[in-house]
Amino acid sequence: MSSRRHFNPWAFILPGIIAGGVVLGFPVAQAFWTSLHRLRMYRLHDQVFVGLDNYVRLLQDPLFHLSVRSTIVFSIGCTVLSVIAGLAVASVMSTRGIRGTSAARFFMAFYLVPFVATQVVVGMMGRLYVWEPEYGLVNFILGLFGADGPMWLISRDTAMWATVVTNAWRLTPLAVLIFYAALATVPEELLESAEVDGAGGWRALAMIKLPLIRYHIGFVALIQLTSAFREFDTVFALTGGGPARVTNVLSLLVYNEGISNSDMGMANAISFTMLIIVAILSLVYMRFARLGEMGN
Amino acid sequence: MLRTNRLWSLVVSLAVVFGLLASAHAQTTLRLAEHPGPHVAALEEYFIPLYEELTGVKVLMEVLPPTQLWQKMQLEAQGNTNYYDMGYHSPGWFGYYYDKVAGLDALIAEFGFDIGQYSESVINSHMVSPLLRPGEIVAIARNPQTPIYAYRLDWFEHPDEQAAFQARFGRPLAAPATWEELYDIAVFFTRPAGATVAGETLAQPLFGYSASVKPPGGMARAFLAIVYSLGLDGWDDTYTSDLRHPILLEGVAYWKKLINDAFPPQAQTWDFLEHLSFMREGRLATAELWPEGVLTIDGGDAPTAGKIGYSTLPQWPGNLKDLPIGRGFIGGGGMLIFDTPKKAEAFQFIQWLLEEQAAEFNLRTAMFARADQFTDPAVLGSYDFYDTFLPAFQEQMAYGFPRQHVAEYGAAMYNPAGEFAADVVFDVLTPEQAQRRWADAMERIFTESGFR
Repeated sequence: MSSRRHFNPWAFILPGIIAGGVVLGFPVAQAFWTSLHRLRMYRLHDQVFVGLDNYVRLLQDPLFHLSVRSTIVFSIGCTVLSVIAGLAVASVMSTRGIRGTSAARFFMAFYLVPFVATQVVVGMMGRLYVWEPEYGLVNFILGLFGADGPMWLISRDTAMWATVVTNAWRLTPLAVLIFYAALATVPEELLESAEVDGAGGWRALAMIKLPLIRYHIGFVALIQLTSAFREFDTVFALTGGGPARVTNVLSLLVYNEGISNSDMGMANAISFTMLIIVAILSLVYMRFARLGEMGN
Repeated sequence: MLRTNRLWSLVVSLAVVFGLLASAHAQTTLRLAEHPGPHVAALEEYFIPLYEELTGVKVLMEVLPPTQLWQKMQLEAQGNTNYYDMGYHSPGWFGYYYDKVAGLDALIAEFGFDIGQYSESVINSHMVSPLLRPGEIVAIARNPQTPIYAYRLDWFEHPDEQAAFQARFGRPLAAPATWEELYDIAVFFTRPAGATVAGETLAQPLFGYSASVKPPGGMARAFLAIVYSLGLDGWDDTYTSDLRHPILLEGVAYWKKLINDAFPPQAQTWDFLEHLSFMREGRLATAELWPEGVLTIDGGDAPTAGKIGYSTLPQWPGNLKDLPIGRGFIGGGGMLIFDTPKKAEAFQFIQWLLEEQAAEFNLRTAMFARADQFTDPAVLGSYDFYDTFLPAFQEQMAYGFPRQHVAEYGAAMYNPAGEFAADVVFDVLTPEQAQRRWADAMERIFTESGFR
């Protein structure tokens, strides 16, 4: 009887472990194994074990450090912007009088467009129609106010911010969806009591709504952070990593090393390093989330 | 009765479906990976439809930006997918898939292609690969070329511009003999909107010189004209890099100055020939010209047609090889055939296009490769600009740098050249850091490959 009780849970999770091992564990192990080798795209049959040499070279490379910095700025920028924008939109949509109206439903569907658009298309649209210095939307609007807009994607001072805004625009709908659903769980009587006590919209948001959905905010921030950390398509289509490598985030460095420079060993070393960083970020979040639960 | 009718309907339907499938299967379809250029419209609108009509063979052409093109060809070839039957051949890319390309000698013998139409230098640079595929013909040249210098002849000859240049630099305004003269001319013509050029007020800023310098591929293509003009080869016979020579730092300092002072900022987002569109719009005074872009600025419908002058690249005084003029690498390309079951059909298409239709192909693209194209009166009479363009083109080709036929060329030389120049020009690394990085990486790659 006792052995059956021990056997059953394992029987249920074994298929998941096997599937996870095949679709996740094997590629990760393969990537790590390849990162310990010298493997050139033009000599695929000539794989030589080099130990940690790729990692040593990587850590000594100033361009890797530059990419790490770019990735941190890009990821945090995208996360902060998309979370704030998501909260703002979801809060407005949850307001009494707007929530549930046909206009609200239309705008919710409208906000999903960037979420379902192909990332490369988002990048191309950004490059050709939004940030383009002569004919783009942003400089057109600035021109209406008599201002000369910069060359957003060409200037070192603005390229990263234009890239962050474009990618945050793509990430925001996910935040809107989750926050909108989360705000719907805030008890109406709490908000009514706050209103009776004189708390206005901002105060109710800051003192009641945000504390109640803080785990959702943390969850969305983690998802956005890890998504932005791995981002390739949008940045590649938008700037290709330029100008002056300002937007050369780690995933583009992987591409440059693996495909452009044919160094698959190094590309896998960078990928595996990224995996470790993302795993650490996730663990930190889970740790904080657990501490928060214990505090409660 | 009803049941019999249904049965017959089913049989007939199945016969039609299988018939359609069988006929679709019977039709040969060739897939061609192509580089952008003036040949694309000619292929798409004229040659491919004509060939399909004549033979029933379907040709699907995919055109990709240069960097994506070699990468896709490489991935498909290394994956043994047989996806492409034919592809654009660049000698610098050949190492990425050299073992997946069909040798052409047997096909040439079988179908009787006249290789004698190609000069020895073109065969050596574009049709064989002695180190990777010794003793074989691996591609057919289509538009071997090397960059030359193009300039607004009408502005150069304008009395106001002549006088102003003479007053500022103490010499007549003419095509530059040295790279420093090229710089002077470039900054001379770089003017803000509202200024005048040749007596006309500029609606938009005018830039003095440009190439397409998107890093790393576009930047590499343009900057290698400096590297080879300096007399550097990349490496010597012992596979030791010559890039540690101080002259490389002089070259990149010059390049940085030229880009910062005369290039349109947009140039860093352009991959290959986009700067010629700027010249066509009257926003660029002089330019690096890969000859396959000549129709953009001097073709019949171009506003600048008849207003362009041509010259060889200028000399780098004190260069390590005493070259009398500057030089870029011999680029452009040809067509290769992947080792697929349809290689004979692919070869027949290439033979038809580049041999039977050689004159027509040239008329529609202004691309030269074969001896008969340089002597055919119909070809030579087709564009007025050939009188000045072809002498510059042919003289420059005589000095063009044939890239070394090693698989490592892209990883050791081409791509890092673009990264080196971009990292210095945009202040990512110091020149010395970037130089050391490039030379070290090159020698490490050659050591890995067993050359050193």
